[in-house]
Amino acid sequence: MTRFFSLILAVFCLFSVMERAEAQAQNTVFFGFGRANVYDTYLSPIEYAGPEMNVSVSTERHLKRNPHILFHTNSQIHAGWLHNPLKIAHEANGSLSHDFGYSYRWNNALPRLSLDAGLTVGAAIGGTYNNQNGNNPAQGRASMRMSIVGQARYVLPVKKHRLELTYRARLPFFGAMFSPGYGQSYYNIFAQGNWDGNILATHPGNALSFHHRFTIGLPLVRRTWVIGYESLLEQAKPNNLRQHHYSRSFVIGWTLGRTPKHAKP
Amino acid sequence: MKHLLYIIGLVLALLPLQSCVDEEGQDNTPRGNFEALWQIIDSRYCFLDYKGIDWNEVRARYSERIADGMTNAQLFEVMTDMLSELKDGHVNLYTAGDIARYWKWYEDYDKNLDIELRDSYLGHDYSLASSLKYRILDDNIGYVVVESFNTGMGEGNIAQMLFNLRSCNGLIIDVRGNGGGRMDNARRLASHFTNERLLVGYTIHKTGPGHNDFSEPWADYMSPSESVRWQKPVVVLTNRECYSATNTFVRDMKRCPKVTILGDKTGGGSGMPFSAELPNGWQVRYSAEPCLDVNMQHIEFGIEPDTPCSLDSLQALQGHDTLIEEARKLLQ
Repeated sequence: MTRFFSLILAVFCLFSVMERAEAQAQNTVFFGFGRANVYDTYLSPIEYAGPEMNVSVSTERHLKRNPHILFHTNSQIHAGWLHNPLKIAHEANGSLSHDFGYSYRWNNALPRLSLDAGLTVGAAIGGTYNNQNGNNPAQGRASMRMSIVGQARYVLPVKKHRLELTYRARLPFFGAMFSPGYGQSYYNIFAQGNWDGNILATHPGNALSFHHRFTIGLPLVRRTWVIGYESLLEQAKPNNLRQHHYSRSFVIGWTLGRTPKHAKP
Repeated sequence: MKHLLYIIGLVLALLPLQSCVDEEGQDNTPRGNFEALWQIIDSRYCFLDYKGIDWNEVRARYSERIADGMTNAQLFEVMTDMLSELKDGHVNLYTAGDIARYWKWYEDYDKNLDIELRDSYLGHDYSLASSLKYRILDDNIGYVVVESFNTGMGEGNIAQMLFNLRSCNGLIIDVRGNGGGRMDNARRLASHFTNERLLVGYTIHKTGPGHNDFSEPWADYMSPSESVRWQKPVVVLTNRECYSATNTFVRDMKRCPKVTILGDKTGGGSGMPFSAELPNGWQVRYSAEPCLDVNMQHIEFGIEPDTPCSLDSLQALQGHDTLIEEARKLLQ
């Protein structure tokens, strides 16, 4: 499986380098503020919740030789400080992820509406630290995934302005993740070297996850300023453990370059 | 505008999308907390079948003592009694005001250790390499006391100590009263007493909530230290207080050449403890990952010494620690 993912990554990286040279990019940075719920039975049978913030950088490039095809990336950092319902124990939760891939765009699929559909590959690392556990104080996370992505963008004229309503969703459909065994210590894995079913294949049946973002953008002074809502719903059932990370946040952001003509339906 | 409404409708339909891996928690009531504790042990404790415990019967027996209006102190008492059925020093229930524990693994036996007597062998001018106390006794025997494996001891500490004791005819490592600590410290110290990679035991871990859901035994090899390695005879002194990581240290040392285990059976504690919590915030510790000896047998209830020996109270009154004196004879 590792070889398969390495091959996929290599092909996508090669394409991304080739496209970088010939395409114009639109980068958008988002800052999100909200709440997260983290549940991991390796650490506790109790769900922890608390404030979380995230930073995302999204990039879109239209291929010059075919403007209907976009190369896009999304890098994201999540960091949260959570507590149990009684607020007497805490968890620090963080993750770093990067996804990239290609989509096909149907401009004017309906009047003023463009639709994108494509595939991405990505990877994420992160972990959760519980401040009161002994030999199981933390859970590390590492995963790779292939996802289908979709985006709908509707341009809504409001007086002299053009509001861009964008909804973007990513649904992983195949991947791999790291997990300790149900009652396996990290000492056993890393100090003693007992890798025993710690890399698992993931699919919607055992790790149904969903990431989506709805934004309203207003092109103004050569930038598009955006506000919106973002939700990351990650969950898995590896090795009879149960995990979820639900993140919901209000996002604000702006584009870092001029909006390309191709992006306007 | 009609299309826009469709889009907004789609977005609103997807926004509250929730998924199915959700908490299976209990209510924060006496009954809920009792059930949560029972469930944690039932699904995660690793010695239920090995110890022949009918956990369902235990639940039925203690459940009768749970009442809605009971106080926290009463609930703690019931839970403590229930956990004591496991006869496991690694099982604890932590509350703000008390800790449920099971210490009969050493309280019911002779201590075989007099701290003041042992200190008289060390004197006041002993050397201290991190947590390793050591000196050279009058008959040119090196004497090392390891009171705990909690405090870090690096390769440099151990190597320097062994180098300083290099002229000794033999070495006594006294781990009596050592209740354990970090496994890596215990392994690091033991690795200085073999020149070859040794099979010292096996490790298994739970793979699921069933009482017999275990992985295949995984061979645990101890590699020799790349630093100073001791080549002369060694005697390890043990008593019933040798628990957890110290129990594993004794297991590892017993496999090393030129090492003799002298004293009383160790206390055991072979399951690496994990933590969980109850809805009321009380923390639970339980054995999760057992280690086995080289014959794939559990060492949860301790390891027999090669040479049994008990502390003679008359000799102690005369200032002689029977175990240390017997070890000195073996090393002459």
